[in-house]
Amino acid sequence: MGNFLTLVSIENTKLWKRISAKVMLIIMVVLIILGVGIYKYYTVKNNVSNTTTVSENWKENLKKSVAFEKTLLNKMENSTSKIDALSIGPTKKAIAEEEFSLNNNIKPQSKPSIWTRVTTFYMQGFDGLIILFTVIACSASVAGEFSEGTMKMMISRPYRRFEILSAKLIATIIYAIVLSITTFVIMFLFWGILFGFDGISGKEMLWVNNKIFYVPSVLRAIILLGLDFLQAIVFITIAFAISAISRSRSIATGFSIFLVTFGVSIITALAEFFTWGKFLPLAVTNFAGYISIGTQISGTSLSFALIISLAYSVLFCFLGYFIFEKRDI
Amino acid sequence: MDNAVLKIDNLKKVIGKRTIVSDISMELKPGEIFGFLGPNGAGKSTTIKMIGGLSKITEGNIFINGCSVKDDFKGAMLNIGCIVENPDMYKYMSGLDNLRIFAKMYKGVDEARINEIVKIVDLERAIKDKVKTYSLGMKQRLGIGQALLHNPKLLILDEPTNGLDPAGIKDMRNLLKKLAKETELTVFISSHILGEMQQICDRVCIINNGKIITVKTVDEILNMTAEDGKTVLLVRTDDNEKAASLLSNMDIHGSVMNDGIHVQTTQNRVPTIITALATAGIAVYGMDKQDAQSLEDVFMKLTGEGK
Repeated sequence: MGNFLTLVSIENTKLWKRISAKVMLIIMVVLIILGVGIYKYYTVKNNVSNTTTVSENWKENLKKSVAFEKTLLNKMENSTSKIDALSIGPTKKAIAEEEFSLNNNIKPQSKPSIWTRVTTFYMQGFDGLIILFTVIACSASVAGEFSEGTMKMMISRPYRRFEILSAKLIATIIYAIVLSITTFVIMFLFWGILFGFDGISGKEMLWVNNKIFYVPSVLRAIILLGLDFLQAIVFITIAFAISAISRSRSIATGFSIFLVTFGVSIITALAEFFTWGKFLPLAVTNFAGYISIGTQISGTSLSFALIISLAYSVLFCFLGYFIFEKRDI
Repeated sequence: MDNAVLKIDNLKKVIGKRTIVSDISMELKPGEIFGFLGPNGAGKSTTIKMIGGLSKITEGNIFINGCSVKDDFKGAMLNIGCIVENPDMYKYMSGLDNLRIFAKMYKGVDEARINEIVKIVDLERAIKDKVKTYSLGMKQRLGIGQALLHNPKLLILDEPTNGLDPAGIKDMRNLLKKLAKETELTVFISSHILGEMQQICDRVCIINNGKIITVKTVDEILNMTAEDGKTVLLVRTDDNEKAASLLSNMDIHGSVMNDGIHVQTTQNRVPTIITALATAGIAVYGMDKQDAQSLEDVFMKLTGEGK
């Protein structure tokens, strides 16, 4: 095991010694500062209010809203339109949250906590960027070594092939963790400085498994980020398998970027409009969405999404390992 | 031979329906420099890749210091240092960082050993520069350096003199001879530069079409062809064409080249040639015996490449 950890640390060194690994981290930091800064500029310039006024008779308003949403839900459930079906989950979530507020006498917030606001901002594309960067690093680490000819230098060593491949997978996941944490921390601090750290110790509703849990906002943020990171893992395993199989850095990088950008949108669209679509790989990988938005693809749930993604990840990993283990370098 | 550093036992490699190499067997002693010769596509690289664990063995086995590459891969790889094909290193890192990376893969290779290696391969000045700025010769030396880090018993070099200038080749030869003598390192070199192999190797193996043709010491091989008594004379005259046709009438064959006529004959017919030429009135400017017994000639003969 000590030996294997050495291998991981070697892979980690090699990954970070590539200029691209550092450049991607810098790009990330610059984009965060630009993104939050532009948003601040926009709200100041257009005088957008960050708070909603909650009137005294909020209970009456909520009741009206619940009643309206219920009729809407009824209509959607009886409709055959696939577009309508997409809103069933989110509407159920809204009704549940409002009823929970009424039953437990929780006055709606005038402003979501900083945790929720930063998490929402984070999931507006920054998470996708993290996946993109990690997939690029993964292709460089696995397929890149074939293209550069250094893989044969790695194989004639007192390590088994699967150990070398595993070390690469772990080093890539560590890179994704570093990117994610750096992104969130910098975003959180910068956001707090510009917009204030309101609600840092507040509680919020968490929608899991068709139930509402009233939990600290920070816990909700951690759960969402964790689920979001699992999505990154699914993409990493696929990029990893493509790299180990194709052995060409350009093919692996190109195909992985295609998957992250267009591929996943196409597959998600298939899942939205065809019942068999949800069984496709990558179709239901927006795990955090099940909590932050609600179930969008009918017939699925968070656990369904996690199980089917796990199965695909294991399958892809197995293929990658199997072919890497058998092949002549 | 119980203490064989490298033992190859009836090795066979089949890819699809094609047999790349078969019936390869050999044993290498400690401190021996062993040449592995063969034309392109003879199966040299395939054999080397199987020794280094890059290519799977179809049949047979390879033992490095007694450890089977098939069954005790880690044990076998602990005793081997190799460069296969090109000395591909991590170009985006310095030479020193490359050595550090590879050093970490073995127990007990410390910074002092790395510095020692840098001195051995004479890269002290450039070791902190990125490998992408290195010349091919420097990359070869860095490659040898990484292969020697863990004091292996067997060093495998695939075409190590590729891209080296004459001075570089000489340095490498001296380095390998020194290592073999002082540390009992066994060196397995594949090459097609035969003059080079003749100077450096103790024994050579000639391989063609995936099969071993012969395994002999360099001396044995050179004497082997001398036995048939054939020699090549370079005859320079004022009319080479005329001289050649005259000789061929006497059943002595030669070919006219820019520097003269290359005549294939035996020692005892030389006086006849001189007399014949003189009688015909052809002025003979010189008659030099060419060294026919170079490894290259033997190689050409054995592999049939010369015809």
